[in-house]
Amino acid sequence: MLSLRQLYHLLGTLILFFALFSGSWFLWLLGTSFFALYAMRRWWLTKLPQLVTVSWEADQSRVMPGTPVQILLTLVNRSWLPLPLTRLQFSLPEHVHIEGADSVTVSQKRAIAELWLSVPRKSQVERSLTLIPSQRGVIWLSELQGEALDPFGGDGCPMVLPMPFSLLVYPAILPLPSFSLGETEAVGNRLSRQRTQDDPTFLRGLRPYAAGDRLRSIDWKASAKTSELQTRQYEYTARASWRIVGHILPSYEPTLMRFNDAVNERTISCLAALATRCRQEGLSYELLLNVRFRGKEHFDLPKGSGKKHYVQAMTQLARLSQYIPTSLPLLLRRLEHSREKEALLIVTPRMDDFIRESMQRLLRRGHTVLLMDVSGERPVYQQIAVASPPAGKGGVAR
Amino acid sequence: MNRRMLWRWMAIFWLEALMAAGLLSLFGYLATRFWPMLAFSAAAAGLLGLGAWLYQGGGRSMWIHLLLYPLIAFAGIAAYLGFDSWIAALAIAGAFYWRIHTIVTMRLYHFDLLRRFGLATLIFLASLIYQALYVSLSESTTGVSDLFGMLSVLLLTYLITSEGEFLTREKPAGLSVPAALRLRIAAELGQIKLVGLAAYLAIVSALLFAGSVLWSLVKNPLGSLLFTVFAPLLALIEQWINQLAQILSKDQRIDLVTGNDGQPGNTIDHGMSGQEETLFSLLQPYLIALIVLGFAIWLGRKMWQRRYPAGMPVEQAHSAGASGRISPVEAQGKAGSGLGGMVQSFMERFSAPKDDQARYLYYQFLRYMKAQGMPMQKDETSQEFLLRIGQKWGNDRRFALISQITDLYHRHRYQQQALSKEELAHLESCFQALKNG
Repeated sequence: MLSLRQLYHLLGTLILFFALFSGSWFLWLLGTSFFALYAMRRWWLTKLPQLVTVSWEADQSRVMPGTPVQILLTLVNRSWLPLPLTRLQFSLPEHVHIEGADSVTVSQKRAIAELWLSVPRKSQVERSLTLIPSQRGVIWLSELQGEALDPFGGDGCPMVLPMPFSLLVYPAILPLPSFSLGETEAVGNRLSRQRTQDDPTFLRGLRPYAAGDRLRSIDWKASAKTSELQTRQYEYTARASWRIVGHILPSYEPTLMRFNDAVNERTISCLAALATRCRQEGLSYELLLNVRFRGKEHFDLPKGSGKKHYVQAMTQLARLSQYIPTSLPLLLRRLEHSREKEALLIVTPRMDDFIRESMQRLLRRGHTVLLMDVSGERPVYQQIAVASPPAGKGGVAR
Repeated sequence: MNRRMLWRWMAIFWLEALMAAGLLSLFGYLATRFWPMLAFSAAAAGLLGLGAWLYQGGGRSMWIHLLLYPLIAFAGIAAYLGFDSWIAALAIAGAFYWRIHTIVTMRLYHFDLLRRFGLATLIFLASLIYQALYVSLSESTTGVSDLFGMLSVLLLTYLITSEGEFLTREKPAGLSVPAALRLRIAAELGQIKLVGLAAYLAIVSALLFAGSVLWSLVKNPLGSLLFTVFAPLLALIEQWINQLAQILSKDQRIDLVTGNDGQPGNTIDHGMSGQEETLFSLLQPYLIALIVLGFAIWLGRKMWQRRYPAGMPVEQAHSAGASGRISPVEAQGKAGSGLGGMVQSFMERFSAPKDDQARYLYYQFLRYMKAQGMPMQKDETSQEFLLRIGQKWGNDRRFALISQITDLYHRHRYQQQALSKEELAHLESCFQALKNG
């Protein structure tokens, strides 16, 4: 089967050949028209991306799962040719529910949405869409595939419309069992000489100036931006501070022939829930994960509290993908050597002997260890106590 | 059936009706006049559309479907009355039913339109050649200008049907464009096409006019130059042909072949003196036919080469080789003569091929395990096989060797780099140690 180009050139050549012998004016016009049609088509395909553009506006860029995101898609036609029933197509991960598109099909774990828009010349048309993601991660788009009418006898004009867009979906918050963080002895019982709310090492936020605030605590840059005085707020020193350790399993374990994606999602959701609880109670915490991160053996979000720290933790948990898990006992071994007594909250879906042994070592060194077991559908809280050593040979209990 | 499908069928039927009109005029059944051909095409397309509706209407009612057959009979009778030929009537009735049955049951794409447009254009061009070269010699009036009109109608309707095919493609149910927007877009599209057509005609006509003026200035000097260059050559060729004709006329065996019984026949030499036509004008139809035939052969060869490219079998061989199947070892090199050669060829059959020693060793390992009563299952991976062996020979020394063999095989199979010589030697030693127990 000849392509459009081959057919046009064949017919044009034949007719021009006859025109050469006959000298007929009509045959010259007709033969040239085939070449002109094809040349015009090529010109139109190169000009199309400049004349037809698309823009995409979202009302949010960071959402929780299940939150609808309103999208306004605008197709602009700057050409003199109208574009009836122009088809636009884009694909998103399967878990994203798309509303407002003319057609949504699921294929190869992607949701493919199609829109048909009719745009008169020198006009634009708008369409509203709603995206509802249901899983954490980064949803991004780089371009839309399109197909427009071909007025030169071809099979449509394909076009690729660049359109960068990204949406960060935070992990879902898992309902936590009731447990207490405040009763446990934690870092900060030894008060520093400074006032309890004046540890200038860590900044936890800003507040409007109140009478009596020290001049040195005023953040002049923020004050210039907001046109009113802002006072820095520092970390508390006598507040509980936790180290939350997350145990991430390998995505696939060949020896056990098991996929751990669902389990890891539960772990991440539990970590997100703990971060949310710490934010609500104003507790500072440090987040540690046993995944390789930027050249280091484990991921470490430094201790902090406040909104900025919370957003940073949730963003890192949302972006966690394609990770390389490392050894959790190794991470716990490093925590053993901390100079201060630590309060550790370990979130793990699998308790094996190595982890139990590491926890026992931590307890023997005086650290406090809480365990959140996420192996089941609901997290289970356990307080770990020091295990009594087995009775030695010949030992007599008195 | 909905309007969208009906429109798509009508687009195909229209092009096929134009093809039929061209064929009938080429074979003399239809007058080569613009309005009769256009009327025939319109009538044929209308009948085909009605037939398609009746054919599809049978999905709901058998009685409506049965009305198709009287319609086919009507088409046959009309063809007989119109062309006064029962062969044409049968052919048209058969073609009528065949096209309805084919078009309605197939899924239509743009290349269906393109193919029919190409064929219709070629048919009209053939008809144009016939009219220009033969009919003009025997009749005072020709249908050349009418065929120009049909070619214009063909091109314009193809462009419209091509756009219609795009607009009537399958879309989700419930998708509709407001009538006002449709009218506006249709008006803008028609406007831009008319402006484009007018601009094209004006520009190309101006260019052609300029070209013709230029040609009229250059033609005479160029003609004189060509005459000066080629006239002696043509005169020499004519002289040779005359000499050949004289020689042939003296040979009596030619008379026996031609059947002239010794009488002077109508040879070229004798014919030339009494006629006013030149050799070139006599040979012109044959030359043109030869050129067209040569062009058709060249085109056919190009199409054949495109359809069956020469490189395909080699690529298939490469792709088959890249799949990495374990294949039996082939004999390497030529087997020598005598018993020594037979032994050598026998040994070479079971030696590891140099290109994939690790795979062949693993293949031998699998054969060994099969001999031990533990064959690898068809749907089992190498890791699953290892686990199964571990369940049976968990604490056995042999399991450690098997683990090493499997691990090395995995690294060879899935790693980017091949095993080193030391690793290959280690693999072979593990396998030998396993065999030796």
